[in-house]
Amino acid sequence: MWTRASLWLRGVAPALGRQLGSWRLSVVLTVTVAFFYAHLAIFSRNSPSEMVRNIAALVVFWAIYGALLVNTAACLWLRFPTLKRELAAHPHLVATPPSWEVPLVVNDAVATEALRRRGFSVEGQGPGQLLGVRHRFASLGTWFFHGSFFVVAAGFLTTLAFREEYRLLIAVGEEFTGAPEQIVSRQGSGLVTLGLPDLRFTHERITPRFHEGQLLFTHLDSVVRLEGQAPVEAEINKPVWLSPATSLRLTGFGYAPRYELRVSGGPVVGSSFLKLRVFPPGVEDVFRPEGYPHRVSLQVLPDLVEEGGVPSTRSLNLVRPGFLVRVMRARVDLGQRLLRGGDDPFLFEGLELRFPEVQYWGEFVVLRDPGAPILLAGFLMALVGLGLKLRGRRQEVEWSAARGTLRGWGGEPPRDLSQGGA
Amino acid sequence: MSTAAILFRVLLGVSAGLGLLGLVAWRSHERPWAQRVFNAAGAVPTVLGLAAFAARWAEAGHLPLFGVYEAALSLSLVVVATAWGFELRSRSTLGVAPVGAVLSALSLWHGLRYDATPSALTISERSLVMDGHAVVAWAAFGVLAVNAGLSAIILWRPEGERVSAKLVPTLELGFFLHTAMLVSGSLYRFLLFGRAWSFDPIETLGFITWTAYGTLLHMHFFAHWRGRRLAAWSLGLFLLLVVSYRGIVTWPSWSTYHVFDIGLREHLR
Repeated sequence: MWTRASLWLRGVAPALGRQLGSWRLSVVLTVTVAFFYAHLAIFSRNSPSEMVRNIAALVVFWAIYGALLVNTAACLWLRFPTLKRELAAHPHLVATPPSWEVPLVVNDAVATEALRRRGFSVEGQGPGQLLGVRHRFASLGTWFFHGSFFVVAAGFLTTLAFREEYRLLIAVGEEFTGAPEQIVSRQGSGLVTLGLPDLRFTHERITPRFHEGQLLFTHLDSVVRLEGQAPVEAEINKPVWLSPATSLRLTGFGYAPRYELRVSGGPVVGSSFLKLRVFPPGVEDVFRPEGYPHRVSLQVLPDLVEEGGVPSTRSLNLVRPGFLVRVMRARVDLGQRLLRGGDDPFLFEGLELRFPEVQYWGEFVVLRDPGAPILLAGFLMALVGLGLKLRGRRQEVEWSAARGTLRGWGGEPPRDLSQGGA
Repeated sequence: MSTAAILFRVLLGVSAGLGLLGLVAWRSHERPWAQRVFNAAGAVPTVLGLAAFAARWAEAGHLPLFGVYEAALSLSLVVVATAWGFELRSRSTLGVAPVGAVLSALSLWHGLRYDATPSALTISERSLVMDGHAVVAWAAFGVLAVNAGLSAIILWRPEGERVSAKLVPTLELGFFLHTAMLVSGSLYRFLLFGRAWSFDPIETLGFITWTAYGTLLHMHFFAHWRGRRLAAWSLGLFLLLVVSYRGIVTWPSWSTYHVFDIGLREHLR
């Protein structure tokens, strides 16, 4: 039985290989991919990108990506013998009929120089005869380009399996130590968990700048000092690289007001910085002073102005903060007030609530993505491959003084040579 | 009206005029000199385009690459300059400069429908990677526009087949640049959002165009498509390219990070 199966496989395998590696199949698959993506583009008019991403992850897409990779692999495998011939340093086609022939009546030295100038690697075959080869690495370009599909696919799959991100809110002056309470959230594939990399840093500064008071960031730079290293700048589009696969990214910012609670006319009974989501102005967040049953709702107006008794903010810059405060105890509303600056207290039930200072906090993401460098390598490989192809396919020439012609295999005759110049 | 705005409109008028006259000259077999004159005249919109680009740069304080209006100007400049560059290489015998001028005029006309108020660049627009991505994108568009121009010549000009030798090299160069555009865009997306691909419609449309041009190259290499057939498909795919570059503004602004106009809908007249 095994002998029969082996014979059958030997008979069928080449035909199957040819089918799998055929250019017709690759055309069918790429056109199918284009149509699938056209559907995605149409979907994206009405659906958020997360939903489009989910549609793109349907099994039918995976089947087509897989089929494309199989097709490319089979195609490259079938053409491997051709690659070896194309890369040969010496001309080997001279025994076959040339694809073109142009007159070239010159002497050896002029012919050698003319061919070298046009990129041919020239070798003499005795007086009055030269052989030349150029663009011999063009086929390697095809291999690089199509081979890059596998590297890119490996990159995406590695990302899918290993990508993890840890979201942190770190106030200015605060040190990140990796303590669990400093990690706001973790996102990952769930397939493999490598954990948060060993990282400690201090957030030294963050500077937001806006366009004409609009909610339009023109800059958001922060300075962090990694443990034992000099301070480095992180921008929203310029992460700090911790390793080729791990980066510390700045992704946002907000206000961290410090509340101070004291017994009226007495000592401070509670004080702490609060990393609240109160940016942009108008957004309200809530906190509970430690050890007290009260619930405080807060809005921060960073550049307070009052027009006709209505508080608003002149700009988004933290210049003269005002605080819109409402205090509740269970369902009892204890009132709402605008605090004009850090010394202005809100009085309730024998307590004074103030916000003497406001810091910025930065939102950072520690991103571990081992697929990213692989993906980058795949992209570079694709570009190098296409670059090698751009100069044209392998070309061989033979110049003969006796015939007074230049014969060529592959491509067109060099344009100026074909017009009789050298 | 600012100098930049005046130059923008002058460029639109000159490109449209020279382009249409050049296309009329295509049919004038008795006056080959007229064709060469219009081909060489591609220098005029190129110089004007450079002046308009420089004026807008000075006005906006940054490279005019972002937003529909500025992108129209950049695209227009790159198309006329690339077409003229190809004319220079062929000693003004190609006939692609008038096509470049018409495409430039259409691009400028589209840009004029959008707000021209200069605005500061947002964080995501401030990066050399982003600038490189935009430049490569425009270069890809310029080369593929020349490819479309050559296709039009092959399809509609008598003796148009004489330029068919240039069709495949422009297709290959355009495909290379389009790939570089996708790669640089993906790289920048990773720097900005920590993900190299996110199915933003601009990525999806760019990828569709990439697969389409890749398939066309396969058909040329393996099915030996050339001449009029290759030209017809190249021209068709150029329309797809135009949709992927300029059509993105018709997508809802929440669906893409690639609409750079602030409050686009309010500014659309």
